Amino acid sequence: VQKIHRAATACPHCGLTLGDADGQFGGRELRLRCLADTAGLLRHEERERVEAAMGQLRQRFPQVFMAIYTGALGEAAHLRRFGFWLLNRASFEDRPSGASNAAGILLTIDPETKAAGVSVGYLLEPFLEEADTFECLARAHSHWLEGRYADGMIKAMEQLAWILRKRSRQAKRHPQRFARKLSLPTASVAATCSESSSPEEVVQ
Amino acid sequence: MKPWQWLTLAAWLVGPLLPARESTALPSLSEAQRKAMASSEWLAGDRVLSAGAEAEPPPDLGEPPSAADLAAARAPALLVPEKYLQAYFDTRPEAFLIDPQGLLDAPSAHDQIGLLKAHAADSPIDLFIYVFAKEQEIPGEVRGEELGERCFATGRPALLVFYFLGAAPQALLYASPALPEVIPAAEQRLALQSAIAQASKQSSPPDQLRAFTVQLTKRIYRMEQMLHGIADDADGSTLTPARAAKLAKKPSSLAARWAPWQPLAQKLAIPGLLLASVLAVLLACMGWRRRRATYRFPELAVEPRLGGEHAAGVGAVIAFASAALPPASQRQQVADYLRRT
Repeated sequence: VQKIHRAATACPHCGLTLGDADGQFGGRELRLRCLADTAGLLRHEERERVEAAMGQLRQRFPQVFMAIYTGALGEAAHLRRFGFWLLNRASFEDRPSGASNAAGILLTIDPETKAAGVSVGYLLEPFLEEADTFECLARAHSHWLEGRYADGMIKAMEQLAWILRKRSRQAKRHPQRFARKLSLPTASVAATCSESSSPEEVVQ
Repeated sequence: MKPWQWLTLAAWLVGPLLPARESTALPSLSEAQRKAMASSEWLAGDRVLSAGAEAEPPPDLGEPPSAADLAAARAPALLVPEKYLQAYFDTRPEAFLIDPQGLLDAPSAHDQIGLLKAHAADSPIDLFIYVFAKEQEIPGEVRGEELGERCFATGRPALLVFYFLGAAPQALLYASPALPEVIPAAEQRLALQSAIAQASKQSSPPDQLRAFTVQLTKRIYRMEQMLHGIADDADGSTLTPARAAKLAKKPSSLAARWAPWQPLAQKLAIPGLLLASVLAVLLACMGWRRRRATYRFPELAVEPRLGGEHAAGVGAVIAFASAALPPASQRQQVADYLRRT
């Protein structure tokens, strides 16, 4: 993760752009459901539980939708880069009408490399910090460690809902605090950087 | 015919033909032996073996008693004279020894009163002894339980003893209404039996009463120790007056502690219930609203980055390959030299 200047067209460290990610993962639009268990980690009843939790989140935060992708990304791929690419290129069939991917929160799980990551759209970017998303993943860690993926997903979403509720109240009371984050040119935001985004690097 | 029947028939037929067994004569004493043994005080078998002794005529028992005579003999008891009933049972007595008939002599009564006063000073449980004559009976309309409820419902808890002078085993023990909650009935029975046993060791009635009272006070003290968890020697030591007063003031049970608050609780029961219901409904409404609440975010304009139309910001990544790599060790995900601002 690297702090870069707002409106940067490319990562100043590695030069990554969405075009680079398209070259790696494909440039065409990908049609998916919000719960895309391509790795087959969830049984039928687990899918129902996870979808119910996603529905509750959507009900409480009408502007936002949750998407989950499970799949092996391969050794060359990076979880952050993939999340960045998928949230920009995917067309979620069952997302709320009128909502764009900018309102999405994508949870990506790679069962081969045993890593998970969260990507958020522009709508929530001012309100969610990296530490917040890490708390969600940390809550799910013990479940995923035991192979209980559905339980981990639900725990992560519960924690996310708690944080979003808090942030929503804060934004209602102090909207200028969040608007200030976006003001140019002093503010900086987190951006995708291929050099530092791999779980392997995290392990080190 | 079966063999045993044959044998029985044969024995019956042969039996009369057998010679008759000679009867053994009783031993008899010669005159010389008799004189020699008579010199000692006791002569074994004299009454049986003396041939010359004249049979004593049977005593004249007279006419057999009638049923009425027997009934009269079985009920020799006298009712407590009516003139004393008021002194005995009318009100709560001021003295611990109740003896309006003057059955105890003055020194014994004085001694007994001193003993009971000393007990009352040391114990939160008073002991009242009603003295009756041995052959007296308490009128049927007087009942110990009723006396306790009528005269001892208020004030210090008390034990009442109906003591029949010279007949300790007839003693009766009753407890004031507050006491049965404190002391089990079985303990009271044991105390009474123990006191009767001690009294039975004495010969004179006043001494019996004294032994009875001493033992009963000891048992009462033991009951207090058992109830209040006082762990010290039960026989010798006595409670200090301060301790006794403290024990006396101490509520004897949950019911006693609750009693002063009961009227207030009854008054506040309905408003309290209503208030609790309103609060419960409010809490339920708040919970329901909170569950149904929706949260929104202000839509702030974010400049697209890295060519991403919808997203460029990223969250965290976590590895769950090994339990040896907990989330805490993954929190700092980027080395400082990679961080630019």
